[in-house]
Amino acid sequence: MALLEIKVNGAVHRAEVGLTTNLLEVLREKLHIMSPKFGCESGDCGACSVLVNGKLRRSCITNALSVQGCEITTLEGLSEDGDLHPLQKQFYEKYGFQCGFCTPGMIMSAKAFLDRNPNPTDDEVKEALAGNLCRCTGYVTIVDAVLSAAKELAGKLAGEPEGELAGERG
Amino acid sequence: MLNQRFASPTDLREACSILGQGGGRTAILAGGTDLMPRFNRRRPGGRPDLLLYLGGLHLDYIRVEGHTLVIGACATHEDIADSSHVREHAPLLAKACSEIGSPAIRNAGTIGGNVCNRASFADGSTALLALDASMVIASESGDRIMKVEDFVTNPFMTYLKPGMIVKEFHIPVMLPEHKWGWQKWGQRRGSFISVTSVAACIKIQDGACSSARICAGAVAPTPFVSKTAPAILEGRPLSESLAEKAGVAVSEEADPQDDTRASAWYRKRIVAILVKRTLIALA
Repeated sequence: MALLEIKVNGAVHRAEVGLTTNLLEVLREKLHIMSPKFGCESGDCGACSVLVNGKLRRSCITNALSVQGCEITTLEGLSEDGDLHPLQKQFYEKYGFQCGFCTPGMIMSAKAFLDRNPNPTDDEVKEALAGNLCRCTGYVTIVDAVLSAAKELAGKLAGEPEGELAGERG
Repeated sequence: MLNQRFASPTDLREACSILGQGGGRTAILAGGTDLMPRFNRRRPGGRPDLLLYLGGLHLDYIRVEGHTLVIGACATHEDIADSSHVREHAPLLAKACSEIGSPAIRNAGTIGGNVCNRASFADGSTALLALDASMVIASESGDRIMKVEDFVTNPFMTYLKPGMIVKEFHIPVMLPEHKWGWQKWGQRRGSFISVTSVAACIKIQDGACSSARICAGAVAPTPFVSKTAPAILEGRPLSESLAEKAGVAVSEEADPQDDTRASAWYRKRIVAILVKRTLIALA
């Protein structure tokens, strides 16, 4: 066992971890941060996605001791002062989830993607989310949500007429 | 349990020295995309006694030295795909790395790991073979350089012995007469493991092909360089019929296996088509 010290969503946490412990186990079982989900534990499904020093990673295949001293961001770290992040808001508005299991991973992947590409096309969003699986298969509304969030983040939504917005919500 | 040790050295020779001391099972950790899924199965006896983490060695550099592109073994697939040096001097490698796994996997997985784990479908290895890349192996007593082609000695073994670490890769920069091609085939467009991949690097002089390195991934125990294609292609202008012949030749050299992604029968056929398509695109 070794002592791990990481910053999660701005707060410093310490935990005793084993040689092969993965970051997801630390977040869920030691720190009780429950948004990253335990899916495949092999890096394929994307449900455990978090940011490590701003970069998208699969926490289930990230060795805990390899992120010693790093800054981790989970879905819990996206909202500010109780206000939902535009991605969270748009997933809600566009029905970007059904069972919700994949949602935290989807939103973290989308966050990392929009940080690099704030004005994406439909195809670019699909490619960015290719590593996140939704077994309810609700992909269309997920892509819609990310595109809308990109617009909101760019401040474009504010300038658009109300009617168009209402029409989109149908 | 008490004897287990996580080492994160900051000096390469020190890292080699730790590995050379041996004693129990040792594993080398870089991005963890191959190693951690293995640990996560929690098989009895599956844990190492020593886990040596390479992240502290800062082997993630990418630079150009004269006519050689030098890439540190711990550069991630994303580092490589995103690097202006790689895009300019070895676009084949940038392309291959940009299609490995999903964005999160590319942020973690490293080119050194891609080669050392000797997966049959390792796209980075397939591209490096086509580029005739060399690799530098560090040990406590110094560095040695060898061809990537000679590194994987058989499907279960690499050249690495206790106390050795892959330090960096050397790739000759592309010249104007060089042409490259890359084809990756799988069941979906994003985030997939190659069912078959083909990397080609050919040289055209006076309208004819003067050298050809055609490599195939996921159709043999390890990615391989075709030994028969050069004789078919060299000295002749590229044509559709020549491309087809080369495809058939590579397919005959292939020794694929059935697995969950595709049958050996299918892979034998698809590799011929991918080689043909790659070469036609270069004609």
